Amino acid sequence: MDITPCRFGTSDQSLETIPIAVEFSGGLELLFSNQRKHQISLPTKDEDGQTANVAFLVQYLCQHLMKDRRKELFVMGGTVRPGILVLINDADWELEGENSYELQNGDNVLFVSTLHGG
Amino acid sequence: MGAFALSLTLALSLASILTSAALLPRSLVCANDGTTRAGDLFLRDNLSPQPPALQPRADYSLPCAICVPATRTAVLIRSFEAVSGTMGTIIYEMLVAAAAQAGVTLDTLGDGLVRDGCVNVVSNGVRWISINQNNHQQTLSVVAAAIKAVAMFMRGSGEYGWVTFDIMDGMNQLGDLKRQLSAAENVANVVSPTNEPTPSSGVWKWPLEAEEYKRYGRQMIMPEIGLQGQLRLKKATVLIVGVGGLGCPAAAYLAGAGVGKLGLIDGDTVETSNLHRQILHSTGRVGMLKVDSAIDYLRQLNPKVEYVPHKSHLTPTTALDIFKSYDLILDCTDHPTSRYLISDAAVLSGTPLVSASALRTEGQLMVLNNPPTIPGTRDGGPCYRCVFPKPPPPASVLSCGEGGILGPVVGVMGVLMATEAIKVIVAGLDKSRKVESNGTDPSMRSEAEPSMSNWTGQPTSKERHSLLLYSAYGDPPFRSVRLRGKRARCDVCSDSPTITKDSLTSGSLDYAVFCGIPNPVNVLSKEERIDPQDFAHRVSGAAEEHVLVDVRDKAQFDICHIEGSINIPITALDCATGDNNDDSTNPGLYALRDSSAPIYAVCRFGNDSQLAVQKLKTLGYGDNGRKYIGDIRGGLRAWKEYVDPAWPEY
Repeated sequence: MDITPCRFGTSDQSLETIPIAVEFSGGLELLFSNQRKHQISLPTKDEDGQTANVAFLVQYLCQHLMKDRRKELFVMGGTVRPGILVLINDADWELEGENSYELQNGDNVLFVSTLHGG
Repeated sequence: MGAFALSLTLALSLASILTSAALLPRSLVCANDGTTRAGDLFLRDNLSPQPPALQPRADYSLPCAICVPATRTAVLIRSFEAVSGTMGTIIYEMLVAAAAQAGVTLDTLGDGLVRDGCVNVVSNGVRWISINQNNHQQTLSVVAAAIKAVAMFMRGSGEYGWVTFDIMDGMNQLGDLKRQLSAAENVANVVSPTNEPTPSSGVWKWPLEAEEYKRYGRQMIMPEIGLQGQLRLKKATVLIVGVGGLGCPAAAYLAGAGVGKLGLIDGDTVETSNLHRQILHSTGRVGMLKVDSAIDYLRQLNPKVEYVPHKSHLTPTTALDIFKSYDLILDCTDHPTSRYLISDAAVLSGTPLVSASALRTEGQLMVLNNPPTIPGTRDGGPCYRCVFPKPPPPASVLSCGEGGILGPVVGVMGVLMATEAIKVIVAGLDKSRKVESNGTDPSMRSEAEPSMSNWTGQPTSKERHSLLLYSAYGDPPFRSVRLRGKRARCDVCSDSPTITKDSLTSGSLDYAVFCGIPNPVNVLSKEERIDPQDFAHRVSGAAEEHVLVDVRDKAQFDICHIEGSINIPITALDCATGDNNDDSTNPGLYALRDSSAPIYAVCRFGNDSQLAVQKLKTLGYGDNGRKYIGDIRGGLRAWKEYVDPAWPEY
C-alpha cells in the first residue's frame, strides 16, 4: 500500500502523520466519547523516532483520544487489557505481529471488548 | 436449466414407488360418488384449482383424499409436502413433459393413447389425471409409462432425489393396484440406476418417518441439508448450556430442525425480567426452573426430539461426565467463568463448541474447537483460551442486568448459534475425535466418517476461523473478522497442556478465582454514608436544604428518580476536571458548585455513589470539608426496601 504522508507544520518541527481509522466496539466506545468510529492522523514516528506501530497507537489513543479517566478499562501493563481483541483490517492482530505491526496509510484498527452477557 | 436445481432433491431413486398409506372406499371420501358419469372428460387446465368432477370431502391435506371417478385413475406425484411458486412451475413443466412422453410410450405398450388429462399443482404435490383413449381407467402401462417418463426426464436433467407416487384408482381396486405397482417398479428399476430394496404396499421403507418428511421437508429440499443432512441432524446430540437469551432461541431452532437429543443445563428459575428476550419462557412460568419451562415449550414445538434436563449449573467436576454424551456444545452462558469452563471441557472431551454472547445492542459469535483438538497434537481449531488466554479484569465484565440487553439482539445471536450448529452437524461430525471418559487413545481413532459432499460449509482445520460481530446500531451491522488459529502455548489445547481431564474433574481448578471476583466497593468512611431511612427523615418536609445527586446513566434516571434529585452520571463525573469547563458540559455540576447545601449521592445499588462521593471531594466540591458529601447506602434498591415500597424497581 502506498504511503502518502501528510505534512503539518508545527512550531519547531514538522510532524508527518498518516490517516488511519480507529473503531471501538463491545462497549469500548463508551470510553471514547461514545463514538464508534474515529478518523485520526497518527504521527508516523514515535518520540524515539521509531515507525509508529500498534503499541504506539494504543499509547497515542490513551493520551489524545480517550476522555474517560478509567484507563485501566483500556490498557493494562503497557498494552491493551485482556479481553480486548485488536483487529487490523479485520484480522486478529496476532496474525499481523501484534504490538509491533507498523501502521500503514488507511489502516483500519478495530478494538473489540469481548462480551459476556447471554 | 438453472431452475431445475430446485428439483435436485426430487427424482431418480424411482424404485421408490409407493401407494398411499390408506386407500379409502369412495363412499367415505368422495362427495360425488355415483354421480360422476363415466366418460366425463378432464380438460387440461392448470388454472382451475381442481377439475370440477373431483370433489374432495375429506381433509384435502390427505394425499389420498382426492376423489376419482370410477372410470379413472389419478396419479399423485409428491415430491415433498408441498410445492408452490417456482417449484410448482418447475414440477408442472416436468409433468407436462412426462405426460407427453407417456402418451407416446403408451402406444408402444399396447394401450390406448392418453387422450387428454390435466396436471395440477395441489397443496401436497402435483396431481396428474388422465384417461386413456378407450375411456377406461388407467392401467398398468399408463402408470408405468408415467413413471418411466418422469424418471427419464429427471435423469436427462441430471437430477437426483426421490418421488412418491400415490395412485388412486377410481374403482379402488387394491388388488389390481398392487399388481400394477409391482410391474411399474420393474419398469422403474430398469430406468433407475439405483438399486434400493423394493417397497411393498403398506410397509414403510424410508429412513425417516412420514411425518418427518413433512416436518423437515422445507429444510431437506435445500442442497445444503438434503436427506443426508437430516439424518445427521437426527443422529446428533446437542447440549445447550444456559437457557436464557441465547439458549432459548438456539434451543427452539435446533428442536425445530430435528436434532436427535437436546440437553439443557441451567440452575436458574424464570424471572419476569427474563421474558423480554428468553422466548421459551412465559409469564405463567415465572418461578419455574428454566430447564423445565424450556422443555415444556420445546415438547410442544417438536415432540420427536429427546430432551434431557440438567437442573443445576455446570461445575468443573461434572462437566466432562455430561459433555461425553453430546456431539456439540452451545455456550449460552453469561460470565467468563462459565465460558472458560465450557471451553476447557469441550476441548478435553473432544467436542466442538459454538460460543456467543451479547450485551446492550451488540453480539459476538465464534465456532471453537472445530474440528476438535486431538490431545497431544496441534491438530484442531482454536479454543476460547487460544483467543482469550487471560480473563478480562472483573471490573470490565458487565452482565445484561447491569449493562442492559435488547431482546432481539441476543435473539439474533442465539439464532445464529443454531445456524452454526446445524452447519457443523450437517457437514459431518468427526466423532472419532470424541474423547471417551475412559481415556480411549485418540491415536487409535478410526477413519472419519466420509463426507457426503464437498460443499464449502464444511469446516476443516485449514479453514479460516472467524469472529462474527453484530452491532444493531453499527454500520455495517454485521462484520466478520479473521481470528488466529490454535495458540501454541494454550493452557488446555496445546501439545503440552497444564489443564487436563484430571485437573478439571478433581475440582482443583477454580474458575471464579481465575477470572477474579469484583471487589465490593467500600471506599467511604461510616460518616460519609447514610442509610436511606435516615436520609428520608433528614430531608422530609424540606427540613434540610440539600442536593441529591443521582449518578446513574441518563436513561435510568429518566425511567424513575427521587423527586428533586439532579442527574450527573458517574461517567460524566469521571471526565470532570474540576475547572469551569465542567460547568458548561454539565449544568448539574454548576449547580453543585453554586450551593452550600450538603450533597448526597445515590445510584442503583450503592457502589457508584461511593465513587461519586470520592470524585466530588477530589474535585473540590466539599469546600475543604466544610460541606458534607455522602452517599445513600444500598442505593435505590435499599430506598425501595426501607422507604418507598412504591418505587418502580426495574
